[in-house]
Amino acid sequence: MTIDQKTIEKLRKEPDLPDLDLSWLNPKDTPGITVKVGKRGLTLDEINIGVYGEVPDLAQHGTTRVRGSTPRSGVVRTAYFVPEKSDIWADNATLIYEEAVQRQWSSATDIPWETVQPLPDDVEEAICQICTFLTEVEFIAGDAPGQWLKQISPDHYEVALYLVSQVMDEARHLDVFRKRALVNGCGLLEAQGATRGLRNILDAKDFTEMSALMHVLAEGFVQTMFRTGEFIAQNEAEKTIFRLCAQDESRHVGFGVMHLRYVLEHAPERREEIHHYLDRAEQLFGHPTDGGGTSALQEALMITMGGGKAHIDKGAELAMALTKKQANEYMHRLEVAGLGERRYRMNPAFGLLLDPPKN
Amino acid sequence: MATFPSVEWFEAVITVANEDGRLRKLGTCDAVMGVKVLDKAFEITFEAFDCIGVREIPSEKLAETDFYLEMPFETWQGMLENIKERGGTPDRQYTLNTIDFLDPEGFAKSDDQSKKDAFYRYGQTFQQFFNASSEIETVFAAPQPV
Ligand SMILES: [Fe+2]
Ligand SMILES: [Fe+2]
Repeated sequence: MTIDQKTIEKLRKEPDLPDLDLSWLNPKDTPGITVKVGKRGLTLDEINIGVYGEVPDLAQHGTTRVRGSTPRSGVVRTAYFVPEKSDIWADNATLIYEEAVQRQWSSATDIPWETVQPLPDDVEEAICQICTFLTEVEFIAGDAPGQWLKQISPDHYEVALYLVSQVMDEARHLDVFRKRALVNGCGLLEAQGATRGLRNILDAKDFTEMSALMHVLAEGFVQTMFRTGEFIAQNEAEKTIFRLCAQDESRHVGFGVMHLRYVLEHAPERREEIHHYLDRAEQLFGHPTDGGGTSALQEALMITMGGGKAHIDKGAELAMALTKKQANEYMHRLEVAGLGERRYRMNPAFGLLLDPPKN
Repeated sequence: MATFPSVEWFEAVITVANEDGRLRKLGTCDAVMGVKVLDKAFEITFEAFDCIGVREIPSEKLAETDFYLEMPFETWQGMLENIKERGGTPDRQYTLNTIDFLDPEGFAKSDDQSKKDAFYRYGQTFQQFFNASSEIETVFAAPQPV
């Protein structure tokens, strides 16, 4: 609803009122808006209509002015934002954000902790080693998107909301794995340190580089591992932890795939540049001393998946199946994003594990 | 008593899954899930907070779902019997994720990895959906080839 000029003039001249500016009441050029609450409640997609839904390709101001509001002169700048929409955008950002809000869970009350019972020492220790590693990794998974938050323009607020939701998800992952390590008496075991591949994500100088490395490569691998985690779980609590974490990771991967697709469609000249980031990341990620292959993690996975030290052969077979699945799902996601030719230049540590292309 | 697989069996599970808000508590889920058992195919639709319906479809239409679950009839029976025996909390080898991991072809199928990711994004919802089958009486009858 807008107020007509006659009413504003009348208000200005009202004898009992102090001198009022009221310029903010001026009718805007923009029309009003009619929103409808949908089946999922009032979601961002329901208010992102008309001018409010027009996302500029270029964010041209460094202030806190929110998209759709009327500009005011003399406003101080607050940041240097990434200006290009194609550098940060994903078409599913609002959907993923709303879904994240709807599908939050609590590590305190949604995990049936009472089902964690004493386990054989080797299995308990292996699970605690995996949890130690994951607690560290989740720190980086939260820090990396957090570094980019202040560079997202209010014109592209959907991406900022998504990133905040991811930071919250990673905080919960960090806390749930820490809790699992501590709940059954064993505690945290050997710290692995931020490995080269993970450090590479934190060092990314470009949002798309960060997203391809973290969302598509690293979190894709982690998502596949969490689904397997349900298989190594010894009780309902662990099954629930891995299942809920896998859901969250799938959103992060989903954002990354759609961002990469958006970049390739809107800035096709960046294709080779993106390959360059992945060349380096795959090399570091597949390095024997890195997160994908730390010996403590690999050994712990083999013990839990095999069901104890005595069955480590079976565990090794399953761990290999996991790596193969990780590599293939990574490749499929790159295909969805439009980077199918990656198959022919992927680090052989993963490339040799790929199934032949379907067509 | 409902026969698996049939529209009536899925409708009975949908009724249980939607009651007492167990799916709603998990948050929104927007996905079309296919189920293939021998020659029979079903399409189960999840929208917003509920599972809103099921219909039998020709197998060729499975490609139009976000993903579809396919495994031998005996494996379906084994999974559902385990869910029943364990009161809705299946042993680890009978969870959807585990079955998917152990099947080299994958239990959840789709030509589009990003659509297939719906299976993982809403994994807990689908697991709860099948867990709800522990609250109905099921008889198993392998569909005959047509
Ligand atoms: Fe995480
Ligand atoms: Fe994540």
